[in-house]
Amino acid sequence: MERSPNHLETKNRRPVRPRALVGQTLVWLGIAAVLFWTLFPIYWLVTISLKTRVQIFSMPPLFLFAPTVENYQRVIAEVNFDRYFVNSLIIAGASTIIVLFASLLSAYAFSRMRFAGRKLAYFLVLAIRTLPPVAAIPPIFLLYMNLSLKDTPLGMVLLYSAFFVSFAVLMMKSFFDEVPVEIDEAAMVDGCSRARILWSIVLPVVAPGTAATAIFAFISAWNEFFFALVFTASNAKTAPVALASFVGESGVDWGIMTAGSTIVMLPSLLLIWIIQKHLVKGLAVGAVK
Amino acid sequence: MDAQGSVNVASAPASRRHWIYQRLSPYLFLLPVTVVLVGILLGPTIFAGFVSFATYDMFGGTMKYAGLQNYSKIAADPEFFQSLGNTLVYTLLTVGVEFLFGLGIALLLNRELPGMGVIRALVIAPWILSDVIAGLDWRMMLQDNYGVVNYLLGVLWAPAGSTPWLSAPGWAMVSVVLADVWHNTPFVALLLLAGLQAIPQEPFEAARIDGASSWRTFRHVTVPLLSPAIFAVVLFRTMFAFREFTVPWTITSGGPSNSTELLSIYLYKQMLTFFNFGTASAVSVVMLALTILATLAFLRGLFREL
Repeated sequence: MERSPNHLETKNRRPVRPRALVGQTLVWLGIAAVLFWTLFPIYWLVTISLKTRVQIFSMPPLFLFAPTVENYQRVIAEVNFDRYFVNSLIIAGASTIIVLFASLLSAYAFSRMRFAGRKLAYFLVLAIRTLPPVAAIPPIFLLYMNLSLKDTPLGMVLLYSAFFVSFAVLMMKSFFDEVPVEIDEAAMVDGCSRARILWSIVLPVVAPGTAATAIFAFISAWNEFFFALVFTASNAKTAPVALASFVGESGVDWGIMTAGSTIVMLPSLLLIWIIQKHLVKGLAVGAVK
Repeated sequence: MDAQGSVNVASAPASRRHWIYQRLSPYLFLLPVTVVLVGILLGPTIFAGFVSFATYDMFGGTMKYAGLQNYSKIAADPEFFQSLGNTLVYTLLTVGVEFLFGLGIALLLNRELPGMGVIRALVIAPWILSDVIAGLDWRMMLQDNYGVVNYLLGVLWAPAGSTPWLSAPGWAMVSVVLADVWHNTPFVALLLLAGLQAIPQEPFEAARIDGASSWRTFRHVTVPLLSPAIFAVVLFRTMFAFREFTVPWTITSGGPSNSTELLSIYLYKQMLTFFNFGTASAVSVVMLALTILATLAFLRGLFREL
């Protein structure tokens, strides 16, 4: 971290008091404890994925061992994990596109336009978000059976678009609200249509926020388990469902589960690193859930 | 802040078509969201209310009016009340512990230290993982015989090394709560941290000049100013804990002897194990009603604020 010269100067003038030193040490001990608690389970997951079958069950557990990539080879060769991975990519990618399209349009309308029913519509978007989607499962199940949407990527894309669109509306609206209305007004005077203003004038300004929203929508769909478990069987099975099946009723294979989990968590961790700046905004509207 | 501009372009010649377009365009802009939300969430949720008064024949594909039969069925099922109780215990425990831990972590991280950006990014990691990975990871670590948690506990204090995390009913609830706390505390911590950083410095300076102790400053300055963030965090976590499925399902599948079966797992079993759509819909309605009751105050406040 950078310190201004001024800051350094004031710091040097004051001698470090022993009480402050104790406090400082306690703070760092606390941070170390928190980091151990958050990171150890992830570290352990990755190390198990690098162990042989015998090493996984060794007691006491091995902290030092010669790593093997055997589980990663098996996860692709033995259980078709690449297929489930691609399913997840297609489903999460397509739902992200729909979520972005729908939320950009409505967030722009909520941020910029005055119309009858505006308050009520905005309230409904927020209120629907508080309903548990679980409650809609039995009728969706019947609907999907009748429309043959069960176990299809299209069915999953429609579900995820509905679940993750409301947080995206809230998030995009907050980005639009930061752009001065004068930009729109100037373009309107020049005779631009609303759609054109959104696409070629406002959108470029909110591009970073749009990217962050897209990443949140993608991670949400990428991580989702419950609905994928209910609505997919083989054809549209997603990676999270596959992970759970590796330690299901048909047998417990920690090696394959941990290797698959490591592969699945890498994209999310990388993507979130990219949008660190907008992380809190996403949290505040309840993204990734 | 709201930047709604009513843009009146007085100079433009208002042809009739133009006027209609102007009037309609907000609704056109809202159309895709409406279709997706109403078609896939709101519509089916309301339909669940109807199905809860019917019996559905899976093979004939026919529905028959059945009055309150589904409700009396779940009212007579001790497993339903067990899962309702489990859900309340789970919600109270996870939200309570996550709030306390999260607040502690937020206070700890609310200072200028070298590397704080990286530390915050590392703290959020558990929340970014899929809940299915969080659940499976803890299930692996909590194995009674060869799990790393029992090993580490055994090193510290030998008798703790044989804790029956997943095989004894009480401990199983502790295990699923533990995994949920690990997975979701970062969310609470980072939102509260953002709330802390949004508080202006002046009240703290005033408290210092008045000679207030750090506890009194925390109690009478920090907590009241942080309360909007606290409210939002607790509301979010309560809503999501109440409908949680994945964490207990991947760790215990609701067992042993239904001790970790939450309402969502009960609903899942009614539907996919017994193919009982009427009963499952009745459970849906109960979950909806409880959620709306719990969030009523929030929704009213929200509506007034708009």
